[in-house]
Amino acid sequence: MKNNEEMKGIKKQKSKINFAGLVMALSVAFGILSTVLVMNIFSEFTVVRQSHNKVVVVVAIICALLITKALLYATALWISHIAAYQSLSDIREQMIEHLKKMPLAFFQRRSSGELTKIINYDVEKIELLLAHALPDRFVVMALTCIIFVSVMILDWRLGLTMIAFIPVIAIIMTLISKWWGKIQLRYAKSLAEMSASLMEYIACIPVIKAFSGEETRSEKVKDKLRENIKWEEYQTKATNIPIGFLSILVEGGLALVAIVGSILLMNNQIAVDKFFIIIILSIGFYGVISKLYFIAGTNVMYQSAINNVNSVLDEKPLELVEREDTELENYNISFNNVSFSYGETAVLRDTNLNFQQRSVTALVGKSGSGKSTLANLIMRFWLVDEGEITIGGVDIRALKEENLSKCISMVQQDVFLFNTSILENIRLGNCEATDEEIIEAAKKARIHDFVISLPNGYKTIVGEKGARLSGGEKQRISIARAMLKKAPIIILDEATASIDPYNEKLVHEAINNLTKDKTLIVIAHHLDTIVKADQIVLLDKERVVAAGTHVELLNQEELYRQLWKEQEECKQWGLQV
Amino acid sequence: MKSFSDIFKMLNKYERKQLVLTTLAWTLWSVFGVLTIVLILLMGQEIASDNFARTNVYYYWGAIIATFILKGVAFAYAHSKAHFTGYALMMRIRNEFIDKMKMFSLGFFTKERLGNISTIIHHDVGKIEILTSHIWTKLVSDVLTALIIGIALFILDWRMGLALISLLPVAFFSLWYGGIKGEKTHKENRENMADMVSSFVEYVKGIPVIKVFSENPTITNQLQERIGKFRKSSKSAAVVASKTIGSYFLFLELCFGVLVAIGAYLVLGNEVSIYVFAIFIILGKEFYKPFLNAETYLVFYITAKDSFGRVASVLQHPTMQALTTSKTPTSYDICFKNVSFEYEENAFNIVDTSFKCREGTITAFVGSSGAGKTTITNLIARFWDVCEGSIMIGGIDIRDIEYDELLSMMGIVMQNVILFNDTIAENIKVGKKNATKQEIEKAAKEAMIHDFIISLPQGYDTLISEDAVNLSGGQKQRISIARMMLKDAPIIILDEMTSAIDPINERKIQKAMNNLIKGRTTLVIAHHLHTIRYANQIIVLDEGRIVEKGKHDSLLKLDGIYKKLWDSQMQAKEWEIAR
Repeated sequence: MKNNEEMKGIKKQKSKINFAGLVMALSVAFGILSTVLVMNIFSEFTVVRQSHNKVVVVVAIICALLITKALLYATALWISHIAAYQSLSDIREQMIEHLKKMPLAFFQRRSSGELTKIINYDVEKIELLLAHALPDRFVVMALTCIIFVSVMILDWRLGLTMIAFIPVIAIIMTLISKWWGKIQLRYAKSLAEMSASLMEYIACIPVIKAFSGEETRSEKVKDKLRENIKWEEYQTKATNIPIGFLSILVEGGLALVAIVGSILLMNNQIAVDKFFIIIILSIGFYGVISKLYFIAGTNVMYQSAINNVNSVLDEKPLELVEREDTELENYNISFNNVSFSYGETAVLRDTNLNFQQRSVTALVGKSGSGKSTLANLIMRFWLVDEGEITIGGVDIRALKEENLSKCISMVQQDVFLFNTSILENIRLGNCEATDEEIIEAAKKARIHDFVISLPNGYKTIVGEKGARLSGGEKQRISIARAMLKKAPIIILDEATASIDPYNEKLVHEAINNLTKDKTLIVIAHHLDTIVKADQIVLLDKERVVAAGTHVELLNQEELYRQLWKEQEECKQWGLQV
Repeated sequence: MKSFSDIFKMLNKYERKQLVLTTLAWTLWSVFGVLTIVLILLMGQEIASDNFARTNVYYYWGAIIATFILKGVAFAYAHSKAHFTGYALMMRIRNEFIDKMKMFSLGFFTKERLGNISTIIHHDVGKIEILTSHIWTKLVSDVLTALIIGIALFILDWRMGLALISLLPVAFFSLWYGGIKGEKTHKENRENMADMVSSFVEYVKGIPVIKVFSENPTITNQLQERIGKFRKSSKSAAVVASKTIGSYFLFLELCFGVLVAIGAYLVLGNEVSIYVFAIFIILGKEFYKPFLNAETYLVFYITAKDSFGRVASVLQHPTMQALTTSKTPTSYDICFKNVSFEYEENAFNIVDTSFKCREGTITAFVGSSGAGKTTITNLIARFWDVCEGSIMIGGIDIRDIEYDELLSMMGIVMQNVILFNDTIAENIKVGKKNATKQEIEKAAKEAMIHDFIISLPQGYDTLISEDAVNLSGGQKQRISIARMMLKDAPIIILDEMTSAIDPINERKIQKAMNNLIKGRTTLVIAHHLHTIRYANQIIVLDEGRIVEKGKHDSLLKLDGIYKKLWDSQMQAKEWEIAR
């Protein structure tokens, strides 16, 4: 449980949780006390005939104890749950704060589904740990001590008998838990495999369906299911048989107390009422102890939830050098000997480039040649491995997040709109923009006419029924967003690609409005759109092959010529029987 | 309790039998535990009596040891049985899912549905397993044990028996009442949770955008606000629950108090022996045990009920009907006869559409987004069925053709290509299970992807997974074309790619496409008009209706919508980014 310390959310609530455990232990103790008192009445009857009055008093005390017990129990639940939910929300907020600092690469490596599962289900599991398991653990520890001490005071011989089996149980538990750990690992592996193959099956179902007569996938998945069940059954046997045995030992402890007690009774070394009280206390003692192995079982579950949460929190955020609050004098961008690799694969090698302020630079090359990476490096989505990237002469690692963000805007190929109104989606570009400014931006982005044609206009919620936006419409909304931001540097990531050829013209006009007087970096596939760029950078196999104007490249570079030729041929093509 | 019986109906005979056995084992487990205590008590009484026999005490010893060994055996048996039955049940439901999914129309599999199904198959099926094999068996055995103890105690002394259950109705009432009162808070809490979850999904998916506009805190604030809201409602739900449980327990404890008081009174009046009193006190505790667990069971039942609803919604979703007599077309003309289709109200529709695609020709569907291009091709693949009119292939209504056979006639080239985590060869082989190596390579060559594949170190055996090879969109597209080549279906449905591909890749796809459609009836959802100018027939759609029909040249001469679209696309081609 060392890992708990790392999670601020749990740490802060720990004292409250312990307090809840204490209250709960008190509640259970009151319960046992009331039973002891009942036995006291019992002994009153057997040993001496007492007056009615005394019995009435004892019964009244018992009832009071029982009421207090119930109230304490409810209070403990109250405290522990409130503390638990507070810490869940603290953990979630901590995770989000942390995620904000993560590089984009992190989000490409960990799927959104996985992250969502962690922040929802795994964090939710911690609730069980905090609100139930931790207080329970406290109760177990407190009560075993209290009961043991009481029995020792009543009769030390039976007290020792009561705990005689504990060392045996403890030894068996430690021996077994190692073995269990191994089984658990194998089981978890098979579970993960089964889950992965099931997930893939579901994701691929449309293809499987389209080829249904000819597929063998579903049998493969079923095999994995069967294999997983085999492991599950093995794991169950491996845990349940020893646990059954252990429970015999635990129950055996009670039997041992009874047998030893009966010997003492027969030899008149203990009073009958004492004997019964000790039996009742022992029942309570073993009841509490038997909770232990359930707690041990659930530990595995909590641990995996905590590990998952920590696997996110332990990820290192971007390492930035120093944050200066500098006003940039100009917006020239330069790459000095930049190298970058993604894991083991090099994506960009030894790159030197200059992007002049208010010039147009186009990045061209085959898919996977490193064009998008280059743009993402400028955005500081990733940090360079070697060399440096500067804007206005300042290393971007030294810029404050908001200063860097302020000067660059990007229109991405995959447009993502949030599940809120069109107005709010555009306002993302500048949270202080007035409605008028937003409409102005929408007009320039050539999306205004479309928006007002919708029944709810700018208040239309994106993604809801009736508001199915085409790719081109989404793209123009994202251009309006970028427009509102008024950043001096614009990066178009394949934004000119013909997502919606029927409305291509509008997209073009929107882009022209956006990029006026800006430093523009275009990642392009259609070479004919960037013929007039001030600089065309040709990338191939992680390197800059050449940089120059269209005419220069056409004359000097074979690869560029080939791209150009293929594109001209593409234009001539048509589907033909 | 309707879903209670629904869940029960879901179990098969074998599973029910196993669950009954588990329940009995649990009951035995509890009864042996009580027996141990009773035996100890009786032994104490025996020894305390004036003239006890030592041999009797030894019998008690033997009996006590026997009960706790039996208890351990019952425990191991019940626990294993519960798990095994649960696993078997889970596997059966998951298998059912796998088979069922193949019987749905392709239209069933929307992107969000696929996401939901994977949660259902993992999370919800697991919940049902726990409910049936662990919660139910425990619950029923608890009730049985309480009944056995209760009846035994009543036989022992009916007056104290009454005291034992005196306040139980009040306790149950308070639990029931609290449950009703808490329902609103609980529901609100669940809604807040759903909000938080969807907000978080959005947050993670939108992270590239959030990063570009990182100085703007709107989205982060919204998420944090929802986390806060969920925290608040969770807390108030916890308070309500604590109150309910607290008052329920209070009455249970008081009930025990009543038992003690009445017992004491009866003993004082010499109506009941002290030992009966003691047995009542100790076994009374055991009698109340199941009632103390009631709350846990109830909470679990509520969540499992939701899970069951989700599982059932998939398993009970209508599948494609198997036909008694399936007709097989001999030719592959496609004919729409007065087809009308409406998907929800006014979402997208097709109005009274008739046209014919001749075997071996290309028909292109043209129109702006929402005009109905995709709907028409989806109707042919029976994603949905037409509302009026009929679609025929080779003169046979597609509803009279077995669905799997209908699909086997079609090669659908989708925009987003789905590849399996398997080798490239296996991915192509999906098109034909028994394809030989030569056939696969031939298909790959025709799909213009062979050269790329053999340039990889492991060639056709290269594993396709997220990080193994970085396949570009164009390469994936060509692998899917190779698949179609192998499938050799007489009808090809083509959704033209709109995402950006470099010219070299695009050229290869173009060549592959022309190889693929040779001699087949081809339907194209066209985005770039210049790619379909040689089509045998161009159908121009507007708001679900056919407005123009003909060949490229004649449509241009018509000077209508097609001409306008064509001109605007040609103009767009002239555009250049410049100062």
